Amino acid sequence: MNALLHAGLLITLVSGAIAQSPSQPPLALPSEFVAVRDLVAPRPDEELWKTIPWKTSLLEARALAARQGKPIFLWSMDGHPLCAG
Amino acid sequence: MDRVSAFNNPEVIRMLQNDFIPAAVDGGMTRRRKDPEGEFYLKFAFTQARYVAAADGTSLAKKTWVPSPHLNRWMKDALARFKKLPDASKRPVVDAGELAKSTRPMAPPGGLVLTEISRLIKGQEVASAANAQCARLPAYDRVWLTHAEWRELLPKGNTKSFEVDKHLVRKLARFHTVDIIGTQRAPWPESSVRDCHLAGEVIRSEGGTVDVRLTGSILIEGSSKPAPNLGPDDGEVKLDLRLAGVLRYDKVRDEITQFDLVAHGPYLKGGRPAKFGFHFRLSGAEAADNIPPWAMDRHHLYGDYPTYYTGK
Repeated sequence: MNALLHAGLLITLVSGAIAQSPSQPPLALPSEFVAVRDLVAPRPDEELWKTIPWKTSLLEARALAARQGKPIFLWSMDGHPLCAG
Repeated sequence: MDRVSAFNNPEVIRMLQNDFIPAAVDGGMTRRRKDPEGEFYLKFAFTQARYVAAADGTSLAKKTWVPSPHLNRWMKDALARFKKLPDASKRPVVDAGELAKSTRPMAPPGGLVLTEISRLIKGQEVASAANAQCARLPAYDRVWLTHAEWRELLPKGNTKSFEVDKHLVRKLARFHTVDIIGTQRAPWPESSVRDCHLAGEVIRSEGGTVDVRLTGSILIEGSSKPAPNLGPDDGEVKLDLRLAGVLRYDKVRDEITQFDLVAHGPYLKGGRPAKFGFHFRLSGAEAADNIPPWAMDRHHLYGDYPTYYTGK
Protein backbone atom coordinates (compact mmCIF):
# COMPACT_ATOMS: atom_id res chain seq x y z
CA MET A 1 0.00 0.00 0.00
CA ASN A 2 2.83 2.36 0.97
CA ALA A 3 4.59 1.57 -2.30
CA LEU A 4 1.43 2.44 -4.23
CA LEU A 5 1.08 5.72 -2.36
CA HIS A 6 4.71 6.57 -3.01
CA ALA A 7 4.30 5.73 -6.70
CA GLY A 8 1.20 7.92 -6.87
CA LEU A 9 3.01 10.79 -5.15
CA LEU A 10 5.95 10.45 -7.52
CA ILE A 11 3.65 10.55 -10.56
CA THR A 12 1.91 13.64 -9.16
CA LEU A 13 5.23 15.40 -8.53
CA VAL A 14 6.62 14.51 -11.97
CA SER A 15 3.40 15.60 -13.69
CA GLY A 16 3.51 18.86 -11.78
CA ALA A 17 7.12 19.43 -12.77
CA ILE A 18 6.29 18.84 -16.43
CA ALA A 19 3.25 21.09 -16.26
CA GLN A 20 5.26 23.86 -14.61
CA SER A 21 8.30 23.63 -16.88
CA PRO A 22 8.76 26.85 -18.82
CA SER A 23 7.65 26.46 -22.40
CA GLN A 24 6.93 28.92 -25.14
CA PRO A 25 3.37 29.18 -26.37
CA PRO A 26 2.86 27.75 -29.86
CA LEU A 27 3.22 30.17 -32.73
CA ALA A 28 -0.09 31.36 -34.12
CA LEU A 29 -1.20 31.54 -37.74
CA PRO A 30 -3.02 34.60 -39.09
CA SER A 31 -6.73 34.32 -38.22
CA GLU A 32 -7.82 33.86 -41.84
CA PHE A 33 -5.54 30.85 -42.13
CA VAL A 34 -6.59 29.45 -38.76
CA ALA A 35 -10.14 29.37 -40.12
CA VAL A 36 -9.00 27.43 -43.19
CA ARG A 37 -6.93 25.03 -41.10
CA ASP A 38 -9.98 24.31 -38.96
CA LEU A 39 -12.17 23.75 -42.03
CA VAL A 40 -9.63 21.34 -43.48
CA ALA A 41 -9.08 19.45 -40.22
CA PRO A 42 -10.76 16.03 -40.05
CA ARG A 43 -13.75 15.81 -37.71
CA PRO A 44 -13.74 13.03 -35.08
CA ASP A 45 -16.40 11.06 -36.98
CA GLU A 46 -14.17 11.16 -40.06
CA GLU A 47 -11.29 9.53 -38.24
CA LEU A 48 -12.81 6.47 -36.60
CA TRP A 49 -10.51 4.43 -38.86
CA LYS A 50 -7.58 5.87 -36.90
CA THR A 51 -8.77 4.02 -33.78
CA ILE A 52 -7.80 0.80 -35.57
CA PRO A 53 -4.16 -0.14 -34.93
CA TRP A 54 -3.22 -0.43 -38.61
CA LYS A 55 0.16 -1.87 -39.51
CA THR A 56 1.56 -0.37 -42.68
CA SER A 57 4.18 -3.10 -42.96
CA LEU A 58 2.78 -6.49 -43.90
CA LEU A 59 5.85 -8.15 -42.38
CA GLU A 60 5.26 -6.45 -39.04
CA ALA A 61 1.63 -7.56 -39.21
CA ARG A 62 2.74 -11.10 -39.97
CA ALA A 63 5.19 -11.22 -37.06
CA LEU A 64 2.55 -9.88 -34.69
CA ALA A 65 -0.10 -12.28 -36.00
CA ALA A 66 2.24 -15.26 -35.47
CA ARG A 67 3.12 -14.10 -31.98
CA GLN A 68 -0.47 -13.43 -30.91
CA GLY A 69 -2.12 -16.28 -32.81
CA LYS A 70 -4.49 -13.96 -34.68
CA PRO A 71 -5.41 -13.72 -38.36
CA ILE A 72 -4.27 -10.82 -40.53
CA PHE A 73 -6.94 -8.51 -41.92
CA LEU A 74 -5.37 -6.94 -45.00
CA TRP A 75 -6.80 -3.88 -46.68
CA SER A 76 -5.08 -3.60 -50.03
CA MET A 77 -5.70 -0.87 -52.56
CA ASP A 78 -3.93 0.38 -55.65
CA GLY A 79 -2.69 3.43 -53.84
CA HIS A 80 -2.35 3.40 -50.09
CA PRO A 81 -5.70 2.99 -48.31
CA LEU A 82 -4.62 5.34 -45.53
CA CYS A 83 -3.57 7.99 -48.04
CA ALA A 84 -5.33 10.27 -50.50
CA GLY A 85 -9.11 10.69 -50.59
CA MET B 1 -14.32 2.81 -51.01
CA ASP B 2 -13.51 5.47 -48.47
CA ARG B 3 -12.07 4.99 -45.01
CA VAL B 4 -14.95 6.69 -43.24
CA SER B 5 -17.85 4.58 -44.48
CA ALA B 6 -15.77 1.40 -44.61
CA PHE B 7 -14.87 1.50 -40.94
CA ASN B 8 -17.73 3.20 -39.13
CA ASN B 9 -19.27 0.06 -37.66
CA PRO B 10 -18.38 -0.22 -33.94
CA GLU B 11 -18.36 -4.03 -34.07
CA VAL B 12 -15.97 -4.01 -37.04
CA ILE B 13 -13.67 -1.60 -35.22
CA ARG B 14 -13.79 -3.71 -32.05
CA MET B 15 -12.97 -6.90 -33.96
CA LEU B 16 -10.08 -5.21 -35.76
CA GLN B 17 -8.76 -3.93 -32.45
CA ASN B 18 -9.04 -7.26 -30.64
CA ASP B 19 -9.40 -10.29 -32.91
CA PHE B 20 -7.31 -9.44 -35.98
CA ILE B 21 -4.00 -7.86 -36.85
CA PRO B 22 -5.11 -5.11 -39.22
CA ALA B 23 -2.77 -4.13 -42.03
CA ALA B 24 -3.17 -1.59 -44.82
CA VAL B 25 -0.85 -1.54 -47.82
CA ASP B 26 -0.57 -0.18 -51.32
CA GLY B 27 -1.07 -3.48 -53.11
CA GLY B 28 0.09 -2.12 -56.44
CA MET B 29 3.48 -1.33 -54.96
CA THR B 30 3.76 -4.23 -52.53
CA ARG B 31 3.12 -6.98 -55.06
CA ARG B 32 5.93 -5.62 -57.28
CA ARG B 33 8.52 -5.67 -54.54
CA LYS B 34 11.07 -8.41 -54.86
CA ASP B 35 11.46 -8.78 -51.13
CA PRO B 36 9.91 -10.86 -48.31
CA GLU B 37 6.98 -8.42 -48.04
CA GLY B 38 6.14 -8.76 -51.74
CA GLU B 39 6.51 -12.53 -51.56
CA PHE B 40 4.24 -12.80 -48.52
CA TYR B 41 1.65 -10.53 -50.10
CA LEU B 42 1.45 -12.75 -53.18
CA LYS B 43 0.78 -15.84 -51.06
CA PHE B 44 -2.81 -14.75 -50.56
CA ALA B 45 -3.40 -11.40 -52.23
CA PHE B 46 -3.13 -9.93 -55.67
CA THR B 47 -5.43 -7.01 -56.34
CA GLN B 48 -7.24 -4.31 -54.40
CA ALA B 49 -9.53 -6.05 -51.97
CA ARG B 50 -9.91 -7.03 -48.37
CA TYR B 51 -8.28 -10.27 -47.31
CA VAL B 52 -8.01 -12.39 -44.21
CA ALA B 53 -5.04 -14.73 -43.94
CA ALA B 54 -3.08 -16.65 -41.36
CA ALA B 55 0.52 -15.73 -40.59
CA ASP B 56 1.77 -18.65 -42.73
CA GLY B 57 -0.07 -17.17 -45.73
CA THR B 58 -3.11 -19.48 -45.69
CA SER B 59 -5.92 -17.57 -47.36
CA LEU B 60 -9.15 -17.42 -45.34
CA ALA B 61 -11.27 -14.83 -47.13
CA LYS B 62 -11.12 -12.37 -50.00
CA LYS B 63 -13.64 -9.79 -51.07
CA THR B 64 -13.18 -6.95 -53.49
CA TRP B 65 -16.29 -5.27 -52.17
CA VAL B 66 -18.05 -5.88 -48.89
CA PRO B 67 -20.86 -3.46 -48.09
CA SER B 68 -20.03 -1.91 -44.75
CA PRO B 69 -23.06 -3.33 -42.86
CA HIS B 70 -21.98 -6.87 -43.83
CA LEU B 71 -18.29 -6.55 -43.10
CA ASN B 72 -18.65 -7.82 -39.53
CA ARG B 73 -20.38 -11.03 -40.69
CA TRP B 74 -17.72 -11.61 -43.33
CA MET B 75 -15.02 -11.13 -40.70
CA LYS B 76 -16.69 -13.52 -38.26
CA ASP B 77 -16.82 -16.25 -40.93
CA ALA B 78 -13.12 -15.76 -41.62
CA LEU B 79 -12.34 -15.87 -37.90
CA ALA B 80 -14.22 -19.17 -37.57
CA ARG B 81 -12.15 -20.64 -40.43
CA PHE B 82 -8.97 -19.38 -38.79
CA LYS B 83 -9.80 -21.12 -35.52
CA LYS B 84 -9.94 -24.49 -37.31
CA LEU B 85 -6.40 -24.14 -38.65
CA PRO B 86 -3.52 -26.09 -37.08
CA ASP B 87 -1.20 -24.21 -34.74
CA ALA B 88 1.56 -24.37 -37.35
CA SER B 89 -0.54 -22.08 -39.55
CA LYS B 90 -1.77 -19.83 -36.77
CA ARG B 91 1.60 -19.40 -35.05
CA PRO B 92 4.30 -20.19 -37.62
CA VAL B 93 7.95 -19.50 -36.93
CA VAL B 94 8.68 -16.22 -38.69
CA ASP B 95 12.17 -15.29 -39.83
CA ALA B 96 13.13 -12.36 -37.59
CA GLY B 97 15.50 -11.08 -40.27
CA GLU B 98 12.71 -10.53 -42.79
CA LEU B 99 12.06 -6.94 -41.83
CA ALA B 100 15.64 -5.95 -42.52
CA LYS B 101 15.29 -7.23 -46.08
CA SER B 102 12.30 -5.02 -46.85
CA THR B 103 12.73 -2.55 -49.69
CA ARG B 104 10.06 -0.18 -48.45
CA PRO B 105 11.12 3.45 -48.87
CA MET B 106 12.25 4.99 -45.61
CA ALA B 107 12.12 8.63 -44.57
CA PRO B 108 15.54 10.26 -44.96
CA PRO B 109 17.69 10.13 -41.81
CA GLY B 110 17.67 13.52 -40.09
CA GLY B 111 14.89 14.57 -42.41
CA LEU B 112 11.59 16.24 -41.76
CA VAL B 113 8.30 14.39 -42.18
CA LEU B 114 5.15 16.45 -42.54
CA THR B 115 1.56 15.32 -42.62
CA GLU B 116 -0.53 17.01 -45.29
CA ILE B 117 -4.29 17.22 -45.04
CA SER B 118 -6.33 18.69 -47.87
CA ARG B 119 -10.01 19.24 -48.43
CA LEU B 120 -12.33 20.89 -50.91
CA ILE B 121 -13.82 23.71 -48.87
CA LYS B 122 -16.33 24.72 -51.54
CA GLY B 123 -17.49 23.27 -54.85
CA GLN B 124 -17.15 19.62 -53.83
CA GLU B 125 -18.81 18.55 -57.09
CA VAL B 126 -15.43 18.94 -58.82
CA ALA B 127 -14.13 15.93 -56.88
CA SER B 128 -13.34 12.77 -58.77
CA ALA B 129 -16.49 11.15 -60.09
CA ALA B 130 -14.74 7.81 -59.60
CA ASN B 131 -15.23 8.09 -55.86
CA ALA B 132 -17.85 10.78 -55.36
CA GLN B 133 -18.64 9.78 -51.78
CA CYS B 134 -15.21 11.11 -50.82
CA ALA B 135 -15.91 14.61 -52.15
CA ARG B 136 -16.46 16.12 -48.72
CA LEU B 137 -13.77 14.12 -46.95
CA PRO B 138 -10.20 15.15 -46.21
CA ALA B 139 -7.29 13.57 -48.06
CA TYR B 140 -3.96 12.69 -46.46
CA ASP B 141 -0.41 12.63 -47.68
CA ARG B 142 3.08 13.07 -46.29
CA VAL B 143 5.98 15.32 -47.23
CA TRP B 144 9.51 13.98 -46.87
CA LEU B 145 12.29 16.53 -46.75
CA THR B 146 15.97 15.75 -46.41
CA HIS B 147 18.00 17.52 -43.74
CA ALA B 148 19.49 19.79 -46.40
CA GLU B 149 16.02 20.60 -47.74
CA TRP B 150 14.36 21.56 -44.47
CA ARG B 151 17.37 23.69 -43.50
CA GLU B 152 16.33 25.87 -46.46
CA LEU B 153 13.29 26.87 -44.39
CA LEU B 154 15.65 28.67 -41.98
CA PRO B 155 17.51 31.98 -42.32
CA LYS B 156 21.19 31.99 -43.17
CA GLY B 157 23.31 33.75 -40.56
CA ASN B 158 21.66 36.84 -39.07
CA THR B 159 19.33 37.46 -42.00
CA LYS B 160 15.85 38.59 -40.94
CA SER B 161 14.07 38.11 -44.26
CA PHE B 162 14.81 35.48 -46.86
CA GLU B 163 13.40 33.56 -49.81
CA VAL B 164 13.01 29.81 -49.36
CA ASP B 165 14.90 27.76 -51.95
CA LYS B 166 12.93 27.59 -55.21
CA HIS B 167 13.46 23.86 -55.65
CA LEU B 168 11.90 23.15 -52.29
CA VAL B 169 8.87 25.37 -52.94
CA ARG B 170 8.46 23.81 -56.37
CA LYS B 171 8.50 20.36 -54.78
CA LEU B 172 5.68 21.41 -52.44
CA ALA B 173 3.76 22.95 -55.35
CA ARG B 174 4.12 20.10 -57.78
CA PHE B 175 3.75 17.12 -55.47
CA HIS B 176 1.76 18.43 -52.52
CA THR B 177 -0.97 20.72 -53.83
CA VAL B 178 -2.40 17.95 -55.99
CA ASP B 179 -6.13 17.23 -56.06
CA ILE B 180 -6.26 13.77 -54.50
CA ILE B 181 -9.83 14.10 -53.25
CA GLY B 182 -11.58 10.86 -54.10
CA THR B 183 -8.75 9.67 -56.27
CA GLN B 184 -5.00 9.29 -56.42
CA ARG B 185 -3.49 11.19 -59.27
CA ALA B 186 -0.08 11.99 -60.67
CA PRO B 187 1.80 15.12 -59.61
CA TRP B 188 1.04 18.30 -61.54
CA PRO B 189 3.05 18.41 -64.77
CA GLU B 190 6.20 20.49 -64.48
CA SER B 191 4.85 22.97 -67.04
CA SER B 192 1.67 23.58 -65.02
CA VAL B 193 3.58 25.03 -62.05
CA ARG B 194 3.43 28.63 -63.30
CA ASP B 195 4.63 30.38 -60.19
CA CYS B 196 5.64 29.53 -56.64
CA HIS B 197 7.50 31.32 -53.92
CA LEU B 198 7.81 31.23 -50.16
CA ALA B 199 9.41 33.92 -48.04
CA GLY B 200 10.57 33.66 -44.45
CA GLU B 201 10.79 36.34 -41.80
CA VAL B 202 12.43 35.85 -38.41
CA ILE B 203 9.98 37.09 -35.81
CA ARG B 204 11.99 36.04 -32.77
CA SER B 205 15.44 34.59 -32.15
CA GLU B 206 16.51 34.05 -28.57
CA GLY B 207 17.07 31.37 -25.98
CA GLY B 208 18.15 28.77 -28.48
CA THR B 209 15.05 28.98 -30.64
CA VAL B 210 14.25 30.76 -33.87
CA ASP B 211 10.66 31.58 -34.80
CA VAL B 212 9.91 32.15 -38.47
CA ARG B 213 6.81 33.39 -40.25
CA LEU B 214 6.25 32.08 -43.79
CA THR B 215 4.23 33.72 -46.55
CA GLY B 216 3.95 32.82 -50.20
CA SER B 217 1.88 31.81 -53.18
CA ILE B 218 1.55 28.98 -55.68
CA LEU B 219 -0.11 29.12 -59.08
CA ILE B 220 -0.91 25.89 -60.93
CA GLU B 221 -2.38 26.49 -64.35
CA GLY B 222 -2.67 24.24 -67.37
CA SER B 223 -3.05 20.54 -67.92
CA SER B 224 -3.62 18.44 -64.82
CA LYS B 225 -1.84 15.55 -66.49
CA PRO B 226 0.42 15.17 -69.52
CA ALA B 227 -1.37 13.77 -72.58
CA PRO B 228 -2.06 11.08 -73.72
CA ASN B 229 -3.96 8.79 -71.33
CA LEU B 230 -6.27 11.53 -70.11
CA GLY B 231 -9.16 10.25 -68.03
CA PRO B 232 -12.53 11.80 -67.18
CA ASP B 233 -10.95 13.57 -64.21
CA ASP B 234 -8.16 15.10 -66.25
CA GLY B 235 -8.12 18.37 -68.11
CA GLU B 236 -7.35 22.03 -67.57
CA VAL B 237 -7.01 23.26 -64.00
CA LYS B 238 -6.18 26.49 -62.23
CA LEU B 239 -5.23 26.54 -58.58
CA ASP B 240 -4.30 29.89 -57.09
CA LEU B 241 -3.04 29.44 -53.54
CA ARG B 242 -1.94 31.86 -50.86
CA LEU B 243 0.29 30.45 -48.16
CA ALA B 244 0.93 31.43 -44.55
CA GLY B 245 2.79 29.51 -41.92
CA VAL B 246 4.94 29.50 -38.83
CA LEU B 247 7.82 27.35 -37.70
CA ARG B 248 9.93 27.11 -34.58
CA TYR B 249 13.51 25.85 -34.81
CA ASP B 250 15.41 24.50 -31.81
CA LYS B 251 19.09 25.28 -32.40
CA VAL B 252 20.37 22.93 -29.71
CA ARG B 253 18.47 19.90 -30.95
CA ASP B 254 18.79 21.01 -34.57
CA GLU B 255 15.16 20.26 -35.21
CA ILE B 256 11.93 21.97 -36.09
CA THR B 257 9.59 21.65 -33.12
CA GLN B 258 6.56 23.37 -34.65
CA PHE B 259 5.53 23.61 -38.27
CA ASP B 260 2.19 24.83 -39.51
CA LEU B 261 1.69 25.89 -43.09
CA VAL B 262 -1.75 26.56 -44.53
CA ALA B 263 -2.55 27.14 -48.19
CA HIS B 264 -5.89 28.02 -49.66
CA GLY B 265 -7.43 29.56 -52.72
CA PRO B 266 -9.76 29.17 -55.69
CA TYR B 267 -9.60 26.00 -57.76
CA LEU B 268 -10.98 25.77 -61.27
CA LYS B 269 -11.33 22.29 -62.71
CA GLY B 270 -13.00 21.63 -66.03
CA GLY B 271 -14.45 25.13 -65.86
CA ARG B 272 -16.15 24.47 -62.51
CA PRO B 273 -15.17 26.59 -59.49
CA ALA B 274 -14.21 25.27 -56.10
CA LYS B 275 -12.00 26.25 -53.19
CA PHE B 276 -9.13 24.16 -51.88
CA GLY B 277 -7.45 24.13 -48.49
CA PHE B 278 -4.24 22.44 -47.35
CA HIS B 279 -2.61 22.10 -43.94
CA PHE B 280 0.95 20.87 -43.42
CA ARG B 281 2.09 19.98 -39.90
CA LEU B 282 4.73 17.85 -38.19
CA SER B 283 3.97 14.14 -38.43
CA GLY B 284 3.47 12.20 -35.25
CA ALA B 285 3.31 8.56 -34.33
CA GLU B 286 0.18 7.52 -36.19
CA ALA B 287 0.32 4.54 -38.54
CA ALA B 288 -0.36 6.73 -41.56
CA ASP B 289 2.56 8.98 -40.68
CA ASN B 290 5.19 6.50 -41.90
CA ILE B 291 3.70 5.91 -45.34
CA PRO B 292 5.91 7.32 -48.09
CA PRO B 293 4.65 10.36 -49.97
CA TRP B 294 2.12 9.34 -52.57
CA ALA B 295 4.16 10.76 -55.42
CA MET B 296 7.27 8.86 -54.39
CA ASP B 297 5.85 5.43 -53.86
CA ARG B 298 3.60 5.42 -56.88
CA HIS B 299 5.18 7.65 -59.47
CA HIS B 300 8.89 7.48 -58.66
CA LEU B 301 9.00 11.15 -59.50
CA TYR B 302 9.66 12.74 -56.15
CA GLY B 303 12.24 15.17 -57.41
CA ASP B 304 15.76 13.81 -57.40
CA TYR B 305 15.22 11.35 -54.64
CA PRO B 306 15.95 7.82 -55.86
CA THR B 307 18.25 7.43 -52.86
CA TYR B 308 15.23 7.51 -50.58
CA TYR B 309 14.66 3.96 -51.71
CA THR B 310 16.69 1.62 -49.61
CA GLY B 311 18.09 0.29 -52.86
CA LYS B 312 18.11 -3.34 -51.75
